[in-house]
Amino acid sequence: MAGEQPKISKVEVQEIFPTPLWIVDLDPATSRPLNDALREEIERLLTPRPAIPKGANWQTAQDLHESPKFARLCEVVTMAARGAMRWWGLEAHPLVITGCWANINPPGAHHPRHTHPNNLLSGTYYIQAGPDAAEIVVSDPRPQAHVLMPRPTQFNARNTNSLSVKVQDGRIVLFPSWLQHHVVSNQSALERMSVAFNFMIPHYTETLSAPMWKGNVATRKAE
Amino acid sequence: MTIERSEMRQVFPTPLWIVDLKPDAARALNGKLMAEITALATPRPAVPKGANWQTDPVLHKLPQFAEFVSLIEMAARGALRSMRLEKYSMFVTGCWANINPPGGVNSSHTHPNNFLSGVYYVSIPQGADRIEFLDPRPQASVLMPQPEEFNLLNGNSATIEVRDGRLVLFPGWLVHQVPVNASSEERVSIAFNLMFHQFGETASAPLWKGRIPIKLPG
Repeated sequence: MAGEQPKISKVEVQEIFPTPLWIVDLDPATSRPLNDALREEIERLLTPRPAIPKGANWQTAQDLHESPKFARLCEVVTMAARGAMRWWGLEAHPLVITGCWANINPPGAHHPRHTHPNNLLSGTYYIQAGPDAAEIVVSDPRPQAHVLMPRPTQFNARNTNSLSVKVQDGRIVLFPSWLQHHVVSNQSALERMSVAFNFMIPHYTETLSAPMWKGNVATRKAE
Repeated sequence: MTIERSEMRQVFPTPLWIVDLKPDAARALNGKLMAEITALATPRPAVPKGANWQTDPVLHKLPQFAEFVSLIEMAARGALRSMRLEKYSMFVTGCWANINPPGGVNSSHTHPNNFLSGVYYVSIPQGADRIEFLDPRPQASVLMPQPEEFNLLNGNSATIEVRDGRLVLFPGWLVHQVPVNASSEERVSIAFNLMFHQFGETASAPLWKGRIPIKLPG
């Protein structure tokens, strides 16, 4: 064996259990008028601005999806969510928006790491992303994968424990609600404005929580 | 009802070790540490909004921090004893000072390649007296019905109050973050990591024996 040149016939790397992120950009002809209208309505909702601590953000109530002023946005993000469901092979299930709120991040504000419990899909639509490298950061959902983290020659999506997604006006970013994400401090001099939303399959427990398998002992219901 | 006994067991706990110095000792040590850190961090370079100052992570190699390093090592030995790992020896692999100005945060992170991590608090103003640990079981909060009251059994983060002279030790893999400094003063702490000597050489080989014994040559 020793000294012999190894003869490999094939090498394959499978990237298994991928975590999906859906990035959907609206055409400027759609996003510009939509953003103008949304900005005006959010400013109206948040005037006067309540005082908040340093580093914090303004957030509206979470029922914007019930306001007609947000109907067009809800239609757009629902279309994106339907696309995500198709990718997942889950297009047979209906979706409803369970929460929708606007975020205003002033300069210096950040949003610490969090998830959206009790929901299937979450996302953000960017009305005013800010002039420079604005991003949302998602954390690797496999925490044990980075207990040992030898320094790589170069960090990339295969060896790092967090990834940034660039955001821009008119962009929708969708992800599984269980995926931890955060927003780093706003380094620009402009406020960042976005709308976040959660989607869930309606009647979840009633339609999906019972076992998906059949036993091998036939059980007759009591008469 | 014929239940004889009911029990709730809390399994797989995540340990946090909290060590408080006596007030006199803390005052004396903090006075010295503050003077050293101030000397190292003057003049302050400009940092972006919301960011912090951090020294290079080599304080454990400076003679003026030797007394502090022996304090860390003592606390770490106690932690190892409580895990029944006292046969292993450990050393400080990194040690740095953090200065969080008003508005500064440390976003969530872990300390890869180290077994224990910790922080010692040198100067903690009111309004900046917390560190938060996130539940290491991410799947546990996928379903999170609203409880009557959030507590350690149903929440997904644990907040520890910190104060001058307190040392907090935790597993290096535990995700933690420091909320925004909401005070008008700087928050000063020293963070450190500890790892076992020769870890790969002493611990990475299998812990078990085969059923087919092999006598190695030589």
